[in-house]
Amino acid sequence: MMLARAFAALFLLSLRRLIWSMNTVMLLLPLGGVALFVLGMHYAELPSTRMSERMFRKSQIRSDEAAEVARLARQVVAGKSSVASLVMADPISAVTNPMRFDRVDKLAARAVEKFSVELVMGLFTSFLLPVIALAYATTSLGGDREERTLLFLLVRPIPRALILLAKTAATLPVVMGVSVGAFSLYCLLAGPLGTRAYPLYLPVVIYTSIAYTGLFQLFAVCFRHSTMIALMYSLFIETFLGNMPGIVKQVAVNYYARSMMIDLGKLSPPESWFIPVSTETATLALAAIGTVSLLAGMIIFQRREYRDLT
Amino acid sequence: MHLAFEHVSKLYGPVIGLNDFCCRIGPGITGLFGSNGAGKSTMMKLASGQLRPSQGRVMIGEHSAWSTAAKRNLGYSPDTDSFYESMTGRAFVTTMTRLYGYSARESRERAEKAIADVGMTDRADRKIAGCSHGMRQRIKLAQAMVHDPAVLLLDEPMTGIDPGGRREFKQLLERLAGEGKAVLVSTHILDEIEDLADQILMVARGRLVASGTINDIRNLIADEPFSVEIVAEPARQLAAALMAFGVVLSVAIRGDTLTVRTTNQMEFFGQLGKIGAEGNIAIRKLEVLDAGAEAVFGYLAGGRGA
Repeated sequence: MMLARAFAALFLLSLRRLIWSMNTVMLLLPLGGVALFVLGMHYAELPSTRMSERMFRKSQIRSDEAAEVARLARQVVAGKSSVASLVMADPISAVTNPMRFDRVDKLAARAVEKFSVELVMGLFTSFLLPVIALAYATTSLGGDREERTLLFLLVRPIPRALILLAKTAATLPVVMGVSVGAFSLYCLLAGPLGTRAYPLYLPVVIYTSIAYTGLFQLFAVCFRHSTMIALMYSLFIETFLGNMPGIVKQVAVNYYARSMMIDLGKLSPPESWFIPVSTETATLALAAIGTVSLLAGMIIFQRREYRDLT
Repeated sequence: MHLAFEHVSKLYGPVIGLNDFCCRIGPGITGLFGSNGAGKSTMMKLASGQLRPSQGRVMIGEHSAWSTAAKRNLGYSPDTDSFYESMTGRAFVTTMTRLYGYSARESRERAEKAIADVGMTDRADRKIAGCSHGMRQRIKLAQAMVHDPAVLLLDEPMTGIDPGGRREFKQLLERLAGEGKAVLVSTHILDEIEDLADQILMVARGRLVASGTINDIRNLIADEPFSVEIVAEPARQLAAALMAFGVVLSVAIRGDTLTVRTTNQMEFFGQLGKIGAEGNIAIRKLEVLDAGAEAVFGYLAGGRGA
C-alpha cells in the first residue's frame, strides 16, 4: 500500500514536470514548421485539377475533364463515395466515358500516396515523432540526472526499477498525447487526404511512439548526454540502418513504422529491395522494442551507480 | 540503529575513493571531518545508497545501505544545491514526503512539521529558485527528516547558514540526537562542528585517520610537526635562539630566511613572541608553510609535509 502510493506520487511528480518542462515550448518550433509545410504543400486542395492534368498529360486530357476527375477523386479520397458508387450514380458517363472512373481511381490513389510518403512517412514518423519522443523521454530521467535532482528520488524507499517504470509511465501518455495531437492537427489541415489518412495511420503513430519512448528512456538510463545521442540515433543511424538492404534494417524502428504504413496504405515500397513485413509483425515488433527497452532499462537502472550526481 | 562501515573499499576505476574503511556510527551527533577529496563524499554516497562498495559492507541497521529497505531509516541532505527550482519550499518538501507513500494528509502534516523544525514555516511559500542559500539548506534538511529516520546524513549542511541559524541548527540536531537518532554531519571546516559533534571521524586519503572527541583531534593536530618560514635579521642569531626551544625539531638557514620545523604551535609561537618583544632581532616575515587541514592530513596519513 505504501509502495503503491509512493509510486503514484512519483508518477504524478514526473508527469507534472514533463508537462511544465520547457520542451513543450521548444517543440512548438518543429511542430509549427511541419504545420506550415502541410499548408504550403496545399494538401487540402489535393487531388487538384493541376495534379490531374499533369498526371494524364500523355492521354491529352481536356481541362474540364481533368477538373471533373479531380472533383470526383476528392470525394473518393474523403471517403464520401467509392469509385463503384460513382459509377452507379452516373451510369451514362460510365458508358460514354469509362476512362474517367479509371482516372478517378488512379488520381485518388496517387494523392493518398503523395500525402502518405511525403508527410506521414517522410516528415512525421521519420523526423517529428522521434523528436517528440526524445524531447520527453530523455528529459524524464535525463532531466533529473542533469539537474542532479535524481538523488532526491534515489534515496526514497522505492525500488529503482520502479522509479524508471513510473517515469516511463508518465512519459508515454505525454509523448502519445503530443504526437497524436499533432498528427490530428496535420490531418485536419490536410483536408480530404487527412480525413482518409487519419484512421489509417493512427496505429502507426501510436506504436511508433511506444517504441521510441522505450528506446530513448533506455538511452537516458545508459548515457549522460542522452538527448544528443538519441538525436544522432534517430536522425542518422535510424535512417541509415532503416535503408540498409537485407536483414540489418530489421533493428530500426523506422523500418517497422514504414512497413506498417506500406501495408496499411497499400503503398509501393520506396525501393525495390525494401521488403516490408506485415502490419501484424510490425505492430508486434514495435511493441516489443518498447517493452524490451523498458525492461532492459529497469534492470540496468536497478544496478547502476550514478557518480555524476554530486 | 547504527550506520556501520565494515572494511569498505570503493574504487573508481584505478582511483581509490575509500580504503578499508571501518566505523560504526550510533545515536548522537558524529562529525565527519576531512579536506575536499579526502573521501567524505564517497562515504556519504555509500551510506545513502547511491554507490555500492567495491569491497566490504555498508549497513544501516540490518539492511545494506544500497537496499530499498534501508531507505526507510535513512534521511539524506546532499551537498549539491539542486532542487525542483520552480516549486515552493513547501511543495517540494511535501512532494518528497509523498514519495514515502504516506497519504496526502499525513504527507502534508509531516512536511509541515519538518518545515517548522527547520524554522521555515513563514517562508516556505517562496519559490525555491528565489531562496537564499541558507533557506535552501533548511529545505534540504527538512526533506531529509520528514519520515523520522533513525539515521540522518547531512553533507556539508552548515555552508551558507548565518551564525543565528547555526545556533538553531545546533539545537535541532541536538534534539534529534536526544531522540536517539544517529546524525552524521560532514564538513571540511573543523570549527563548524567543534561544539556540535560528540564524536569526530577524521578522513584523509580514503582512510579513517583519527576518531575521538574534538579535544582528542585538536591535541592530535597540535602535536603534529609543522613548518614555519621566518625572515629575520640577524637570521643566525634567531636560529640559535630557536634551537634552545624544546619544541623545535630543526632549523634550516638560507640567507636571511629560516625554515623551522616544530611541534606544538601554542608553545612555539609563545616563545617566538618573547624573542620578538626583546627587540634584538627584527622578524620581518612569518609564514606557516603547512598549516591548515591539508598539512595535518599529510602528517596523519604519513605522507607529505615538510
